[in-house]
Amino acid sequence: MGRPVIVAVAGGKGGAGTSTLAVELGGALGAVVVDADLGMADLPATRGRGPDLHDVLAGRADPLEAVRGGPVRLLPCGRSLAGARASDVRALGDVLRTVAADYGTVVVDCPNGLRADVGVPLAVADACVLVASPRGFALADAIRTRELARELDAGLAAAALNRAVEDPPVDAVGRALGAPAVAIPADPRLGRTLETGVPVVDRAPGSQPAARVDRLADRVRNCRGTP
Amino acid sequence: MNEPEAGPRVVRASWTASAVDGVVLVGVRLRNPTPVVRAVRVESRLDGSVMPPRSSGVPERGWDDDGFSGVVEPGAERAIGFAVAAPVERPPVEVVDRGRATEPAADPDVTAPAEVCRTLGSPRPPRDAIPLPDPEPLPDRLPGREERRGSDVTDTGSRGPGGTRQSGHEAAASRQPDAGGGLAASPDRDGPASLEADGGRAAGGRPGDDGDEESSIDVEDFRWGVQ
Repeated sequence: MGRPVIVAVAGGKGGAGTSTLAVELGGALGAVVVDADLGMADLPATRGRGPDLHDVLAGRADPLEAVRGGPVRLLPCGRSLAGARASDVRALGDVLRTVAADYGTVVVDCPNGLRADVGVPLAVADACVLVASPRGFALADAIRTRELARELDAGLAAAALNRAVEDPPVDAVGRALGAPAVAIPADPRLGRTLETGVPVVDRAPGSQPAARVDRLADRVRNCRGTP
Repeated sequence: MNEPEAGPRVVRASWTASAVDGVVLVGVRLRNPTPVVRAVRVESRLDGSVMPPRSSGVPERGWDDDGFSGVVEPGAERAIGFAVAAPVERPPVEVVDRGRATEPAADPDVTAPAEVCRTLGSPRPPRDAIPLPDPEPLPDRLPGREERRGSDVTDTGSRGPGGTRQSGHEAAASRQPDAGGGLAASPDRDGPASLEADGGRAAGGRPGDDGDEESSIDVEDFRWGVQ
């Protein structure tokens, strides 16, 4: 196992499919996916009861005991606002480092917006992946998130143009964002990733969505911040 | 009161201390009459955790658990303040002149989690947004609470520090127990967890957070009492 790697997956805008691609990347990279959306968690936490990220950030649980097994290992987040209020987001950096030190690679599903729950993962991340809808208005949010990632020194590994119906202008978007862009097709199989917790790279390894996710994972592996 | 600190220090300090509802508010004025930047350390002598000024729930730069470290510009004054939940003592602080500040103040590390929180703002939801806990099992565990049923806002608010400001919101929420209740995904776990979390913070987990933590136990009591 190489040195620990933390990959932040951020979209900036709600509904871009950040969580889906975080799980997909987690599957492709063999990583633990951490649901860092403290106020609106959406990764499935159905694999039994146990401590979650709220408990960890409130000092009630160890980060490693909150990691759940499954097709993709997951550190889920609680879904209560009380839990979100009790969480100390300053501890999130150390939590991510601890999990990465033990499991090798961590993929962080970042929340929307540009607050500290996005900033802290970006600040400790070795690389980040931007997720955007291939539409002009969505790119504005992606660019804002890219600026924050630059300020916080998170190398931009790739941009995922998610739910692409036709061939999006990946080259132009890549130039605008300063990183290679990968089009992820609008495919119903991807829509079941969060529901089942099983990524398409496992469910349909020969499919086009799986190939694109693998391409995205390759970009992350080749990013300057990662081994 | 305003008593000058005696001693051979070059930086001169004066302090004020006022006790309000068991909390001592300490103000310290530092004067540097010399032509050089001087480093100072202000340490609380009171028997309790220092509650420093905060931005987005994070202590301002220079503060730690025991006091403040910083510099005073030549010919300038600097005023700082903090609170401690403890009996007042005189003097409430010990001020140490650490001599000429040999290095200019370093720029803050923008990737440090605390700095990220200061810059981007905390994602913690406001207290008023937290759904009320499920009231069903609580009265049995809290004998004697019924006698407060129907207490009016003024009575409850006067019971603790900060109660006046908070009680209005909390009381309004208490009279509408369903308000926001749908936000909790699993009330069976979230209710007790929220109480535990708030109580834990009030007991000293993060003293002074938002400046309103000391009142949280009273607020929760009130919730139980009126349901």
